[in-house]
Amino acid sequence: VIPRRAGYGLVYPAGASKVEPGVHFAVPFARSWLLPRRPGVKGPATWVLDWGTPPSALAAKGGRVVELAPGIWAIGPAGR
Amino acid sequence: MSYLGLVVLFGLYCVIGLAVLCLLKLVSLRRLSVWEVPLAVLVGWAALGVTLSIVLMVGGDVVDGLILAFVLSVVALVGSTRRHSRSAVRQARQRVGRLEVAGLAVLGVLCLMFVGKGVFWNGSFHIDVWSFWIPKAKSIYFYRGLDTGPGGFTSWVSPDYPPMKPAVDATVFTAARHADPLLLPVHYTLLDVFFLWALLGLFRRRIGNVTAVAACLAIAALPGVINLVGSSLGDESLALAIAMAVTLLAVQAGERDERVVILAGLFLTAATLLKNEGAMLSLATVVAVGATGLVRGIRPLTVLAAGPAAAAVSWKVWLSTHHVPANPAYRLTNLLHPVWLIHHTHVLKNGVVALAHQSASFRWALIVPACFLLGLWLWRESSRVAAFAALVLPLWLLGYTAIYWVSLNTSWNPPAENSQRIYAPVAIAAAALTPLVFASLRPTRTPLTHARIGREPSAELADVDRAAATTQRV
Repeated sequence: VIPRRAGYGLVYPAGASKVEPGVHFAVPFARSWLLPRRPGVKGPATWVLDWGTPPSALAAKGGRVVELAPGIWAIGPAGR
Repeated sequence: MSYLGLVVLFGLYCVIGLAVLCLLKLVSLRRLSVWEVPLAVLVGWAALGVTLSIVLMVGGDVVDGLILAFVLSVVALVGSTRRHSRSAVRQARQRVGRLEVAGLAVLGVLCLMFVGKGVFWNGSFHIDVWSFWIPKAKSIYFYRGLDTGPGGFTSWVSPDYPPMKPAVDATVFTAARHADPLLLPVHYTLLDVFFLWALLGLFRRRIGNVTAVAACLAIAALPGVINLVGSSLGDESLALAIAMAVTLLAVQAGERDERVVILAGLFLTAATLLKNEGAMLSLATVVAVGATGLVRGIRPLTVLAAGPAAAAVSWKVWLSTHHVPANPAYRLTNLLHPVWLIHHTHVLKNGVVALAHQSASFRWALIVPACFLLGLWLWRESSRVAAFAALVLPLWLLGYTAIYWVSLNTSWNPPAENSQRIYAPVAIAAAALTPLVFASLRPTRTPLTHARIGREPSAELADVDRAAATTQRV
């Protein structure tokens, strides 16, 4: 879903690791798996990998929202 | 296609290793023994890893390093044909007995199981492998070098770790033309098998065929080794490099062969470029070699120390010029602050307890205390190898204790899993040293020739070698 040359930011709620201990492993795994997409990039043209936050709170207007798995979304940059 | 890439990569290791061995006149291409091939593969892995690290530090790419290493190796091989001489690593033709065949068969089955473990790996890597070893390798592969941007080499956990392990992993991806993490366990299990085979070759000349097979079987069957094989952790590579270095140093002790010291220096350089702890292990090894006179004279000692020192300095320069932050886990300069250290004695205690637990653990079959005590006991017999073993093991553990002590996490108590990993290079090197400590008690060949000739072991060995060569011709 996320293009190979794109950057993305990973978002998960504060305290998620207390509710879901798997976050501790899943975050480094996801960051590693998604290479060569550059993690930790912020900006209007970047994607958001959203874990647990309702996408409506994060998606920009016209942005593409794809549910990757239950509770995990890829949110694209705002549409032009 | 992926496995074909691995075959090509191991072929490249072999070519590079043979080039180094031929350049040092340690082996002859015309009379290459089956026991010298694995040593060539291990030397090639270390030499390629060091070359790739240097190329990456000067701004190059893995492909540049591969081309450079291949071209230099071919030139060296072409230029060094026919020339070789006696050496501590060269293998004489020996008859293979039934007992040895049986031992080799068991070892072969164990090695097949290791490779099977690599091939059928289900991806359940240690978190360190997912957190930074694989991403760093992928970043080198995808971004063509040591990228310092987001997702680049320095953006992962432990950004100050040297680049050799990720560079070699990126080479695996390049050879397979696909960044598949599941290739790494196959690569490392194969490397582990070549390591056991190389040890067997080095042991055979010193301790006899059957004992050599038994020693290698004992090493391969250590629960800690079985657990570590194929894990693709930095500690696995570090264990190979350190164990090869000390084995070569112990093997050359009887013959004082400076060329073998150069090989040991290459493995210590690789260790320095594999992990931060590698520099500490290399420094402790050089200190122990110097203190026990395992190599004679200042020149070979300088040769041994030069590679690791140059590697450590160049990596520090690279970190400094690229403004990479220091490791948040520990600060070595705290060793110079006695007050800080006194306030953190509880961390020291935790570290000592963790290492003592590993020393007494069934996982390593008490090999480190056994090797240390054996070395201490045989030290009186004026065996330099025994003295080296008795000194280097506590020095390494002292180094790890110091690293634990300067941990910045003041409530830190090293978990068993952590201490088990970092203990692996010490335990595997001790396991490789133990048979050589035993062997140092007796002359390399027959005691009779020692008494009859009454010269230095090196001269005696040269004579025996000549006699053996004459016998073979007859």
